[in-house]
Amino acid sequence: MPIGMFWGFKTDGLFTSDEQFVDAPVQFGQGFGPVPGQTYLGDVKYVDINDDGEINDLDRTFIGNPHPDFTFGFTNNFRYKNFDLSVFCQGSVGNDILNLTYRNGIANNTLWQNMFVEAANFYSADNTNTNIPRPINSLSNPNQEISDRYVEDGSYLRIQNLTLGYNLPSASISKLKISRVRIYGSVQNLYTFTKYSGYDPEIGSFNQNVLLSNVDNGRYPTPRTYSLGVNIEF
Amino acid sequence: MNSIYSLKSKFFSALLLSALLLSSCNDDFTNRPPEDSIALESFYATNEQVAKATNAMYNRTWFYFHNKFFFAIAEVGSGNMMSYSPDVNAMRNFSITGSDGELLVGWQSLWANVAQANSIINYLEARVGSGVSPEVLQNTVGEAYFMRATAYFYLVRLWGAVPIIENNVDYVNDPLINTNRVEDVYTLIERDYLTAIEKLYDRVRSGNYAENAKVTKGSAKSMLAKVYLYQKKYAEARAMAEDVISSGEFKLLGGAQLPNKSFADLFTFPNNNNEESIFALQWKNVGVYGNASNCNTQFGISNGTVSTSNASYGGVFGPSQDILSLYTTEDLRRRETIMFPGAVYPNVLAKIGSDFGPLVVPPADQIGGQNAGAAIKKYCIGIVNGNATGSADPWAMMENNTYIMRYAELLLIHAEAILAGGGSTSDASALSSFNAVRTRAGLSPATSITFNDIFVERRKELAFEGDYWFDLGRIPRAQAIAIMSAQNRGDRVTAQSFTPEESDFILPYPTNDVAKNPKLTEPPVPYTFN
Repeated sequence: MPIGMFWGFKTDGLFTSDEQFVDAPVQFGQGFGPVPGQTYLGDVKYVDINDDGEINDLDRTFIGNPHPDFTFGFTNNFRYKNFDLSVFCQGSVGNDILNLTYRNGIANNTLWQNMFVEAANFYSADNTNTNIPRPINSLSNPNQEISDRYVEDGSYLRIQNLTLGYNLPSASISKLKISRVRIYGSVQNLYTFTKYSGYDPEIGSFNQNVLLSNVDNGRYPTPRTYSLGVNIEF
Repeated sequence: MNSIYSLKSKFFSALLLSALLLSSCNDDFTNRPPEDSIALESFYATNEQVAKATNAMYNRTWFYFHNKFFFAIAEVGSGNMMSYSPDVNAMRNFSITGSDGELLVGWQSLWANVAQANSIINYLEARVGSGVSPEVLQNTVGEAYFMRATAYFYLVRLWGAVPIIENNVDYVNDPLINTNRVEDVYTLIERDYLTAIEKLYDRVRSGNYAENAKVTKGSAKSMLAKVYLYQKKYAEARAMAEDVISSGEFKLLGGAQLPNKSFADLFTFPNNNNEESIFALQWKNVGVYGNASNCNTQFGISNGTVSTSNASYGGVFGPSQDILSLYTTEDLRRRETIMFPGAVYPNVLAKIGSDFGPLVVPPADQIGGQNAGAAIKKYCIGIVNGNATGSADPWAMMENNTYIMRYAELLLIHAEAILAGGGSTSDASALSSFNAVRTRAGLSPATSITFNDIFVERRKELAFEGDYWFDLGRIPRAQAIAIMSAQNRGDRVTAQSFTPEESDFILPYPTNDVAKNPKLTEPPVPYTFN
């Protein structure tokens, strides 16, 4: 077993109809009903991994793997007349990310914290086609359990560097006793192709703790850097 | 070839030389005591240093237990307090889960006490210097036994079966530990308090309050009386309580022996460690988070205009609607426990707009907080006001003590131990203890008492001090459920009631700990004491 696997519950959507409660496992010892402390429509439906008829700590399992199947990088250089173009791409395939920023952003469990816009799409009697559970004003909220709801595919392909250069024609510079002038512009972190919903799929380990690899707890994203330059050779 | 050989031989002679030089270093050379920090080997050289070993166990180790968890469980859970604040409201409707953040830190805090006590119990004796007197060493170890027993007394009442750990070092290599049976945990608690009684100083609480901070023989006896009572060992509880009463170590503020004081004086900063205090957490403003009490801010009033705290928020906990009708108006404890609209507290300084002045409680609809229409007075001492309140740390936390036990409770334990599970009693010494508490509160003495009289009196006397939850836990479950489901746990406008289940009286183990030690969920095993 690789180190730092994600450990939590598997889920099966939300409870959206009364029939789903028939023979459903009891979740965290809670009865059925609308008040906090009971399981109701709009709550997360957890999977009874050990088939004992109740959802509790024993139903947690491995829900994700932060390690990629492989990582890669390649550089392409193009040259046409006086132009040169270099493209460096790198990426990672097959790794999962535990998106705790998303967990906090859609929590709907307190009145004193800002939420993502999509948190407004919470479950209600008029809004049943959603994956965001009903709001419960309590941090002791079973819908917040670490689960596969927060695990995302972290594969990405990033254009890490793109440089476009132009060499001035030697005829126009030779009288200045300069042998070569190249003007170029480059962009770091130009674009990332990914299905990951957070800021940046390149996470690393939270607090440099290898047990918390690819745990996105609000990591500051990689900046995009533009630079312009001139190479002059005498 | 020659040159290579000579190079080689030079290299080897250099190696030989350095090996000789290194081996000549002795332990004194490499193993030097640090000059910029305190070393364990040399620290416990004087009586004063040994006595300091337990200082942190009067505040820092208890901080997260006391900060929110204690009140979120024992007061919100029992229906004395209410809160809508999402970090502390789970027990209002019995919805707490193992992932609750306060549940985790409260649990950790109690285990920190156990661990801290264990290191003193197991290792202090071997570390002290020759200049330390045996009495000081024994007293310090006695304090550690007292703290371990007290932490376990909370653990067993909150979670039931928990692991018994007498030396944390034993489990370093094998941290998967079974829980032990509740009766074994109680055995440990009794043994620890008995050892504490043996080792702690015997003294009488004087008017010099600064000397009363630490626990004594009488503190351990009082706690043990309570532990006996919880197990219905009435004869032992009575003997222990009578031992404390006859020792004269503690007195009621405003009782027969201290008529110039009153119930109100119990909850002011200058009266920290008064004659009634049996064991109190000693909060300190040291400028570092986690050493002082947030009660002044979390209780009291903060409505945007009137504030009793130096913080920018307040009133996180409010009184429940149920407790508002607990006291009769002649009960002196009423205004010292709950701030009702219109009440005036000349000694509590409040911020009123941009001015400061004595607290006048606003009308019910303007108290704000949890919209209880009233606020919690106990432990609320107002904004910083010189020697009357002491200072506040950068988080507006203050230095007023929190009682774990005070003499009034010991008297009620005494009365209950004499009743001994019977229907009623008019035993003279039971009445004497019971009525001492009642008359101090300005009420007429009773002539006969039942269990329910004591039960209600305990709630009135100890409201907001973190005890009612445990009282509800030691009466028959059906009775407790009936009491709690009848409570109005809503606010001034919206009445709400919730019915607990039997399982709600025992807290879930923190999810994090179950993941690390899955044996927590296995049935408890017997513990072998050596």
